[in-house]
Amino acid sequence: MVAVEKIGLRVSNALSNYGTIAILIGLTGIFAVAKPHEFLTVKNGFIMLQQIAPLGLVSLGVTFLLAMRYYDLSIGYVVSLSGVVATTLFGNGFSVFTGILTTIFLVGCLFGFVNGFIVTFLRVPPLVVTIGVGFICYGVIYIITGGKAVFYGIPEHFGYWGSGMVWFVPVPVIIVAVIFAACYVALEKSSLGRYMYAIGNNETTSSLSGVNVKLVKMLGFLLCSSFSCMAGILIASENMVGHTTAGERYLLLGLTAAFLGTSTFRKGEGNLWGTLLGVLILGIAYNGMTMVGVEYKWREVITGSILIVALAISSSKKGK
Amino acid sequence: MEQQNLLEVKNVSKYFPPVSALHNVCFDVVPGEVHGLIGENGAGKSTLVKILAGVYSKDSGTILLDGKEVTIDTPHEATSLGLTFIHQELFQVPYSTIGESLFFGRKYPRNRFGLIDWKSLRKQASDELSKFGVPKNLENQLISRTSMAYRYIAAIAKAISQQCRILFMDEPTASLSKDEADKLFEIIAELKKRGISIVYISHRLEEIFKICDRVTILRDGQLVGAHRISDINIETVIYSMLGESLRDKFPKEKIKIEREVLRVSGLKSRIVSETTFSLRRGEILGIIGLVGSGRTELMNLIFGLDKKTGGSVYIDGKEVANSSVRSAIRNGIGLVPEDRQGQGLVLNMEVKANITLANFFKYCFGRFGIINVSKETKRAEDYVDKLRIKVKDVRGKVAYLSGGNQQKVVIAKWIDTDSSILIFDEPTRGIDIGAKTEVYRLIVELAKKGAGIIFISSEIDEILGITDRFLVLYKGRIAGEFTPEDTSPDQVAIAMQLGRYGNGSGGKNRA
Amino acid sequence: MDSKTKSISAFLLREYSIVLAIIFVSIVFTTINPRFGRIYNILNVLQHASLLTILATGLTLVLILDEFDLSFAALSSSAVCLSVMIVQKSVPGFLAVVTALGVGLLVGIINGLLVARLNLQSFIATLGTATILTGVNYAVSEGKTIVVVGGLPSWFTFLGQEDFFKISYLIPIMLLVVIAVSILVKYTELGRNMYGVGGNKEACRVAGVSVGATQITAFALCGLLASFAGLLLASRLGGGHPLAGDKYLLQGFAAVFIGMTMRGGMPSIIGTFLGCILLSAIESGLTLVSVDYTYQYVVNGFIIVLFVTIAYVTRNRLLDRSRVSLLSLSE
Repeated sequence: MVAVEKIGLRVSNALSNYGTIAILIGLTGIFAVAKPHEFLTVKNGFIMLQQIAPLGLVSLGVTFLLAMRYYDLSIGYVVSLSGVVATTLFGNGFSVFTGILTTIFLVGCLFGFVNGFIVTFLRVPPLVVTIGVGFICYGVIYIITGGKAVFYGIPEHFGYWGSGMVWFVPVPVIIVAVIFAACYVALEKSSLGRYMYAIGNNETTSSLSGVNVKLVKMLGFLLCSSFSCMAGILIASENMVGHTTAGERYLLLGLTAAFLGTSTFRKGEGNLWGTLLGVLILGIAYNGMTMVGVEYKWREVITGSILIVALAISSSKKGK
Repeated sequence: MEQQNLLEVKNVSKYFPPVSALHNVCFDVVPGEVHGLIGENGAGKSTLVKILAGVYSKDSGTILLDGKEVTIDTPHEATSLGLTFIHQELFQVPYSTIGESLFFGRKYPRNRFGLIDWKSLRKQASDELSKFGVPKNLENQLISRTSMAYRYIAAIAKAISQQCRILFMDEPTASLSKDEADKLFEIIAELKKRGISIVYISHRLEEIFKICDRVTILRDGQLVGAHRISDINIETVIYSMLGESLRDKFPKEKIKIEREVLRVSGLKSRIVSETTFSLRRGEILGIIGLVGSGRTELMNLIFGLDKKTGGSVYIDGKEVANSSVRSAIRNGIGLVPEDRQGQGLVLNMEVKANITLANFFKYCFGRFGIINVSKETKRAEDYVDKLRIKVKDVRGKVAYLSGGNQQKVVIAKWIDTDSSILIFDEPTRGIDIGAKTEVYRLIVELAKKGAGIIFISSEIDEILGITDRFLVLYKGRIAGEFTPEDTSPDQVAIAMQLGRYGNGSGGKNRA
Repeated sequence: MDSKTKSISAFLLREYSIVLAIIFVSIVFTTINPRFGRIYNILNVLQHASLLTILATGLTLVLILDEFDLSFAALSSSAVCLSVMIVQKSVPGFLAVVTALGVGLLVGIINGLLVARLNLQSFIATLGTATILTGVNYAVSEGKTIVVVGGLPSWFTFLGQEDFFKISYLIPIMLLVVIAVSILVKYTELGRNMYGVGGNKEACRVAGVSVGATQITAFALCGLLASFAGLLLASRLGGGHPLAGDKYLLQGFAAVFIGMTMRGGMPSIIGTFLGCILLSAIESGLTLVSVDYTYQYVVNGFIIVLFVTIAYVTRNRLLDRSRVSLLSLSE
């Protein structure tokens, strides 16, 4: 092979494997240069981490499904609904502890169960099911709130989860870090994760080898919805409001982060480090954009472009 | 009698780094001959063919047609040069009709608006197909609902209608019954008379010797020999293919057969009629039948994949429900499926992951617990050793292994479950001779260890070679039970074809 | 019933189940509120379905290819905003139309290129495109409805708002689109190639059919139809809203999936068409039955999920029946 071709191949291989990391570094670099004193500080770092904590949770949940080559398009609405339900429960006299637990059960587990059941047992494609369930979620939000945000009756210490600090580390960051570690163990080091990857790669073989495919799939959907639910509670805690549209951007953002993750580490598969990378990229992008003063309205454009660029760079070309 | 070479392949090489799939291979075809192309899996036969078909591009070498050099970069170019191909997978679109498949990728007949003229298309298709003695109206049948045999004929019809001069057939009889194969050979003889050359790729040596004029042998991507059929015999060919001579194709051992492990009584479903048979530990029970005779359906019932409508299954004397795959596995049944890659392996996962998949909890701490990576790796390496699986690292992806080694991985997976009943569905299909013998050896070993083996195959000599006793299935029921010592291949064939056996003794008539 | 009659009636039941569903739903709604059955309402349903049909027809092409397009809804919203903004500027009329269609075509081609040349998964790629488009829509319209001072010119709103003896112009347009695309799919080489690519990509490569070109064309057509629908939507609304077309995302997919119960489980134009009518009938039925606005979303979503589930469960049962070999567990 010609030398130039060989170099070209090496470059494209390198780009293909590490392109997304390059994007992360590149973005950090851009903002560091633009606002050297504000951006690259530890304080800002933690602010950024706190900002993306909910996104991190949502994306983690999606990653489990993605490993099985499934997806859930109801996550955005689940996030909103969770915040609304939690705050409404507080308004009705539930304590913080029971309120949170009930919300996770009522919203996260219930919707996860419904999604999982219809996709797993009735074998309907997840696309329509999760969009439809998301729609229903949206409707339920309206029924509960009548379109208004839920303000009152929220106990003071609920806000601890979203805006509290342990030393200088925001509480949400700690929560997400702990959960991330747990997810890592679950997905990479446990039988559950092994089964998920097996199902994602070849469901038929997995089933014929005795894997309890249905159970694992259900768990995947349950986890995804529950994580989105927790993210919603976190957001409500941070803002001390149950907003009806709090979670809408998380549908695209959560999927984008997780999909960004498939571009590296484990090519084409949902994986945790990749998701972490994706979440960080989005976090840095948003944090930086706010700092630099990019208008709100252009943010989504940039997010989508990042996704496409990352995927384009990392796509491998197969020769004849 | 020197004939002008129709096609000449000179020193063609193709590399899929780090492997060289083809290295300096030479190959030629004269008009009106049937030329066999043989070699083990991975020898390079398919690669050579795909290069000639315009699907792959060669890295070096020349291709000459009628003495003039040509380049084949796309399938269209190959077709326009008169080279047509029927690949092993047949490559037909499942939801289109047979008639449509004849025109797929070619010029459709058009009406005056420039739109496809279906009526004319159906007529033309019907005309082409009728030359082969097929049922009426075949051209309107959906591909997904048509038998492999007719699909094959459709592929041939398409090839001929495109003015082909050389027809390449890759493993044509893989999915055909003996009768259908014979019909195919008749068609090939016809084509030969018309001056069309056939390149016949197969690893079934009996067929090669039956219909070919010359034969080219590849091994490890290189040319090993090219001979006239009249000049050689099967043993030399095997020697060339393997590099070593092969006796004892079937390891025959006297195994102590013990008590009954499986009994099926009156088992039936929508497709399978009342079936009764039993299997004992240490026994190798064969099941043979034509495609569609109900072999796989019967095994589905036993393995928990289909619902039974009557009858019962007893394991070790106790009745079991077997309503799902998982319960079947729990009851000690294992299945090495027909579709190795699609149903037996997770190609994208590591070798060791595949080996441990069926019994994974053994490798974890606690129920839904953490993986014991070292235990997993060590056990996998043990199996690789014992089964002689050619792989450097058990952490490599199983997709990179050859067919035979992949099959061994699947077998390793089931050995790991300590199943007392193992079902092998066409375990040696698509595997080269060397690996086949290994698989036979493994099966015998498993029987020695006390498992009951059910061996499903469509190759008569295999069944006669390896089983202690076998059943012939016909249209969903058992047509007869035979022992290899007392049965001739013809009797088996008759039983398979007609559902009863002829005049000879040697079996218990169940019809 | 002997077995032959049984299988024929089973066949008929399966093939025309959507029609039966439409009839069933109509009967239910008419019983509750007789106004449902009136000609006026039937025309209303058809008109309501027309935009969805145009969108869903384009989507069907992509689904035939066994790919996804998540961007068509956002694209139609883009067409809405774009055309309204251009018309506002008193620029020659047809320029607005051409630009909107051109953008649709362009985005479609981009989607196709991402899938065909860069080998991206269509789900992710079109998700990215949809994100960008939604962002652009928001940015350009500042999140508010674009209201044109003095209203849009009448030639623009003509097709969307006028009617012809009470039959809205949208209805014949919809039928034209359905017929045209049906002809494309059944009677042209491109159409057959689409089924080929969706059915067996390897077969196409080996037969010399260009997989990439077919994919790009399908996505391009989907984009074109999406922007066409957007134009009509703008014409109908008389203004532009950045999220105008977004709600069609769910309904579009639902319609195609429901339509897959016909024609043996493959996406088909006629199936999609009937699916659109079914969905439209349900939605307008719910309004007529005075379901409270707050509950409409829930009920509508619930019914959509219900119908798609039923469609799939029956389809799965049929696939189970015709399967003779080892059970394939992927859908």
